[in-house]
Amino acid sequence: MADYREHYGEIRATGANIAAISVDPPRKSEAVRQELHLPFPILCDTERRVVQQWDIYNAKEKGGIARPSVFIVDRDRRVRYHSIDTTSVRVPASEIVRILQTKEEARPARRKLYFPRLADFIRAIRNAARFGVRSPHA
Amino acid sequence: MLNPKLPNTGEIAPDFELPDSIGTLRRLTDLASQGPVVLVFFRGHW
Repeated sequence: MADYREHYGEIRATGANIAAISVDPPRKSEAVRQELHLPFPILCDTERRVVQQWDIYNAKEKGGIARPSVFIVDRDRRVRYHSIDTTSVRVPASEIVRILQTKEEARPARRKLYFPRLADFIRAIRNAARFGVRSPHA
Repeated sequence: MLNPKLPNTGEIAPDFELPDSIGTLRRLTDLASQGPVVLVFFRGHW
């Protein structure tokens, strides 16, 4: 979760939002959110309805918990990407940022594709200027 | 209960409404109306 906190500015800069989900009740989730200084919400699937419907439910551990997994869902709720992890290790947030940026870059003139690294570099500077000095509490 | 089904790439994810940690109800459709949404499922409190 700390990895996603560190990439929050970059994720928001692509126009995307982010939300975490666990089966913990609100009070526990709020404790986690404050402890980790998460700038995004934690949704509480206490009844395990979503994790079961989405088939990412691990019934064998801790009375039933979510498998560590990440989805990118587009405007029309269409799934652009998912990563389901079998261990506690999840896909790095930097990879999610890369995917979120790809769609934006694929649209403009083809010439841009010859300089993907330059585009990344410029965006990184722009993001640092916009988000670099932001407090995680903000 | 609907049959468990992983929403695969290219498919429409089932909508849901869940409270966040301060009790505000959040609906996936509403979240997604503002742009792409990154959903990070995690194990919870340790």
